[in-house]
Amino acid sequence: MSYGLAFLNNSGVRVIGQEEDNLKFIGKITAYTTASYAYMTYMTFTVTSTEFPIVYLYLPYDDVGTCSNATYTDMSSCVINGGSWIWTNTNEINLAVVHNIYNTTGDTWEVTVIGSYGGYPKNACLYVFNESGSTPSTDAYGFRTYKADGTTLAYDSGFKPLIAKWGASFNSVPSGSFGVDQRKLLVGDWSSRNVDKPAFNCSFNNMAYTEWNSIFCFEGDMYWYMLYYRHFVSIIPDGVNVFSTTPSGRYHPSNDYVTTNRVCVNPTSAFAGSSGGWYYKTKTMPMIDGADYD
Amino acid sequence: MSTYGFQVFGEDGSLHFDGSSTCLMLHDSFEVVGTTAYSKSYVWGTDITSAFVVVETMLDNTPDFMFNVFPSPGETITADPATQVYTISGTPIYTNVGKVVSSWSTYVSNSKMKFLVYVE
Repeated sequence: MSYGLAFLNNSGVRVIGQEEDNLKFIGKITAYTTASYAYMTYMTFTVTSTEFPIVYLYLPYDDVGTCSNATYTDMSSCVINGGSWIWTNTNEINLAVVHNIYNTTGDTWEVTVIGSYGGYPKNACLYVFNESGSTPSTDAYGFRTYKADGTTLAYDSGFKPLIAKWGASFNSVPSGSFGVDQRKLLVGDWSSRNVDKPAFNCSFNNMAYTEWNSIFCFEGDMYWYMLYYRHFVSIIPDGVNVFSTTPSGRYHPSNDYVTTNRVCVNPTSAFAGSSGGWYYKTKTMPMIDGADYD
Repeated sequence: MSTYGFQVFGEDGSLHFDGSSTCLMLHDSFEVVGTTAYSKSYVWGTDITSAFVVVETMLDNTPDFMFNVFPSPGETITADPATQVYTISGTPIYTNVGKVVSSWSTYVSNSKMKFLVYVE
C-alpha cells in the first residue's frame, strides 16, 4: 500500500500515498442445484471469476412460528421484547451459510451452501463479488485509482463498489441459548451512522450473514454434521438488531431434510468435543449503502 | 449524507461512491494455506478507527472432509494506539466434527482461507 489518495475528514484532499482495494460486483445468483451427502441435502452453484469470489448470503427472516408471548407475532419482537424466548418452529429451513468456495478449474468456482439440519435454504439472495481491478469500467465518468504498478485498478467508481457503512460482530453465544446485540443508530459509537437502506435489492427486509457457527448432529450411521446457527440482522427504524438463537426446533428435526434414525440433541462430538467451547464468530456486513445490486 | 469526504455520481445521477468517514473499506486481503501461521501488520492511520476481518474458506472439496470440518480463522487482532499499528495474526484451525477422515492432514494442507481486512 504505497500509492493512491486518501481523503481525510476535515482535511480536504491530501496525498499521503495510500491505496485501497475494493470489491467488484459480479452478479446475483438465481440458479442452483442441490446434492446430498450422508443424508444431508445442500445447495451448490458455480461462479465465474478470475479470482477467489466473495459470496454474501442473505436469507429471508422466517416468521413461521409462535411466540410464547402472544403479544409478539414475529421472531424479532419475540426475542427482543418477549422476555423468555420461546419461538416454536419445527420446520425451520432458512438457516444456512456459505460453507465452501472451491476452485474447480480455471475461473470456475463451486460454492456450497449448507443449511441447518443438513438442508438448504429454499429462499435466498446470493451476491457475488471479487476484488476489482481486472477489467476497467467502460464508464466515461466517475473516479479511478490505481495500485502501485500504475496499471492495476484499485478502485473504479464504475464498478459500483461494495461500500459497507458498518459491520457488526456477534460472538460466543452459548449452546442452547440466545443473545441479542442491538445497535441503534445515533447512539454511542454508532452516532455517526446514517444508513438509509441496504443496497442489496433483496426482497427480504431482514437479512443475515452468518460466518462461523455450528453445532453437531449425529445420525445412526456414524455421521456427524454441523448445524448452523442463524444470526439475523433485522433492520429497525433507528438501527439494527443483531441476534443469535439456538436453531428453533433443534430437538425436533424435520423429516423434510433429516431422515429418521438420527439424534440432534447431543452437542458433543466424539471428534471435536463439546461445541460450546468453539462455535462462535459470527460477523455481519449487511448494510451496504451506495449502489443497488441486482 | 456527510458534510465532508467525497462522492461520485453516475451519469444518471445515481450515487456510486460515498467516501464518508463511516465507510468500511476493503483495505487488504491475503490467503493462508493450511495451518500456516500468519501475521499481517498495518499502519493504523488517524482516519481509521477500527479493523474488521471477514474470512472465506476454500476447503478441499472431498466430501468426507468438506462436510466434516469446522474451519476457524483463529485470528487475534491487536492495535497499538501509540504506534498506530494493528496486527492480525493467528493460525487457521480445522476441527473435525464428523467422522474418521483418512488423509485429513492432506486435505487440510489443500485448503486455504482468504482474509478480507476492512477498515473503518
